[in-house]
This record gives sequence, C-alpha cells and structure tokens, in this order.
Amino acid sequence: MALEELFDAGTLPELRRAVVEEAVAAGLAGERASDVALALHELAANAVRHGGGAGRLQMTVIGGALQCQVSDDGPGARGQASAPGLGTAGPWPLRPGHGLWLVTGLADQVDFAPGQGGSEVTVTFTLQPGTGSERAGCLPAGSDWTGAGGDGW
Amino acid sequence: MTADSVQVRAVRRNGVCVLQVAGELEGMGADAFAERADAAVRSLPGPVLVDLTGMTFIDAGGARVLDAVMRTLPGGRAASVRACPPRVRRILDILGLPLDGRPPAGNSPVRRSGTPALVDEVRRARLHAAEAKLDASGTLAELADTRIRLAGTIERAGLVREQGRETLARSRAGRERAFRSRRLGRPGSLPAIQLLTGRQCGPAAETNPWSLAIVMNPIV
Repeated sequence: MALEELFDAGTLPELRRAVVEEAVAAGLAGERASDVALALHELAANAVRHGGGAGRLQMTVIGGALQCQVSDDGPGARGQASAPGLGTAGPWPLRPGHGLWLVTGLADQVDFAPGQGGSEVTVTFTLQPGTGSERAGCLPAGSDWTGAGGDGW
Repeated sequence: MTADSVQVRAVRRNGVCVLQVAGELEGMGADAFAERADAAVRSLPGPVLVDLTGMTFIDAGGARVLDAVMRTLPGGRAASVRACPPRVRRILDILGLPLDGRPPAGNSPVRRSGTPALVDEVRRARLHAAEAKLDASGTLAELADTRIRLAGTIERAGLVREQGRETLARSRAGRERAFRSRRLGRPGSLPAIQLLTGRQCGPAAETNPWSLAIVMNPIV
C-alpha cells in the first residue's frame, strides 16, 4: 500500500483525512494515526509556507514501519545543511511551540535531506504495537532548545 | 483553513466569560480566528475561561495564535484553558503551551514586559477564584443530580423490599401447604387416627387437662 498526494494551502484538511485513513490501513491505532496526520500536516504546512506554496507527500510501509516523505521545490530550506533547524535558527525553527518541534515529538524518527532545489523530510512511525505510543509525547532528547524554550511567544 | 472550520463563541456563566472554540484551528489563516475571538471576548466582561471541548484539531501555528489571543486580551484580562479534549491537551503539552495559567516550565513568569509581577499575580488569583466559582456551581448541579438519583434508588429499594415481602409470604404459604400435605398424606385429608389431649378433647374435658381421646377419621 502507498499514498502519494500533492497538496497546497487549500487541501491540507483533505490531506489529513487521507493520511489518517492510510495510517489506519497500515495498522496504526486511531490515536497514533492522528499523530501521523498531525506530524505530516505540520511538514506540509511548512512546505506550503516556506517551500513555494505546495508540496508532495508519499507514504509507504517499509520493514515494519510507516515511512512518510514530504518534499517541496523550495525556496524555503534551500542551501540548508542536512538537518535544518537542529540547533540552528533556520526557516523551520526547532523550538517549543513550533511545528518541527511537534513533529520530532510525535514521530519515531525524523530525517532531513536537501531535495532537488527544495527540501525533503522523512518521518518514520514504527508499526509494532506499543512501541509507537511509548515514544509518543517525548521531546527530542538532548535538544539544545530545552533550556532556551519559550522565547519569542 | 476555511473561515467556518473553526467556531468561536463567548457566553457568560457565573460572572465568567467562557470562550468556546470548536472545530479545526490551523495556523494558516488563524488571524481571522484571532479577530473573531477578540471581538467575542470584548462583548462580555470578566475573566476568560477558554473551553476547547469541541476542538477536533489544532496545529502548532493554531496553538501559537490561541496562545497569543489569550495573552493579549482587551483590557489585559487573564485567560485560562478550562476544558480540553485529551488529544488537544497532549498536543499543547508537546508544544510546551499548557495554556492553563501556569507559566510553562523553564520560562520566566513575566510575559508582558513592564507589567509588575504583582498585577500578574492578582490576575491569576482572580482567575482561580472564577474557576473555583464555576467548579462550585458544577458541584452543586452534580449534587442536585445525585439527590434525584438517590430518591429514585430509594423508591426502587422500597419496591424491591415490597416484592421481597410478597415473595417471603408466598414461600411461607408454600411451605405451610407442603408441611400440611406431608402431615396429612394427601392435600385436604385428615389423618386416619388422631390422638387428642386435654382441651383438644372438647368442652367436656375443660376441667380435666389429662383427658385423652382417640378419633378415627374416615379416609376421604
């Protein structure tokens, strides 16, 4: 099973519903499926905001995990290192209250990679029962932002 | 986010302005929400409690806008989230936005630059008092409800007791009948031979308690 969808600012609600359906079909429980939808919504919203107003989402099940890739054509994260925002003030700030912070709190694994001219983020949710929900809610370990959180809002 | 994906309404309850926010709150286009929430709150006086019971979705941007709305209410009024679905609470927790009047962990409690801490303290205390008032009225309502349920239970218990009494009477009558039929051999018949003593022997034996009589009954 796989899902591939193009999105823009107007289609984010439909994207969330499609993601929940896909996540449930992949075997994730309702709460965890909502986590997937929220994480991908945040990445999609970032792509819309900083990546030229639109982007692409792909979801596939690989090796007992749901792998989701959100990519855009820039200019948002263009020129960033492989992990924009991780300890640096990039266009997608990783700090409490922000979308990327939420993504790292929800997903089991987050990987950033520069795409062709844009950016590409892959988030992974493990499908084994229990492992996902245990991980859920944890803030990124060893984050530089835990002490400096809250500034700016 | 479409304009009607989030519903905003302010109602007055026990001197508190309850701001009800329902539906999906996305960061994109949340400025319109902020304006509507501000207008709704402006129409009612008192501290503000935010009721998120009907909220089905909130993202990081939406939470930030909600946070900003709550921190910058007209007249510097204090606000706190009162009712919150677990799903929304969890998202706010991960984001580090508790929105319930507590300063987020690790943050300075002073949020408005130049506002004396004492004023903040008074606002918070007033808000807690309003919350307590709301809680008390909720408790009273629950109490009344419990009283009504209790009355119902007592009535039911009375009925059950009555039924129990009837059952007991019936079982006693049944036992009585069973005993009689065992003694008499056959329901309605008398024993073939009866030994009568004392007064049982009849009025003639009243004076002599030692009277004995043997009665032979015909088998019916």
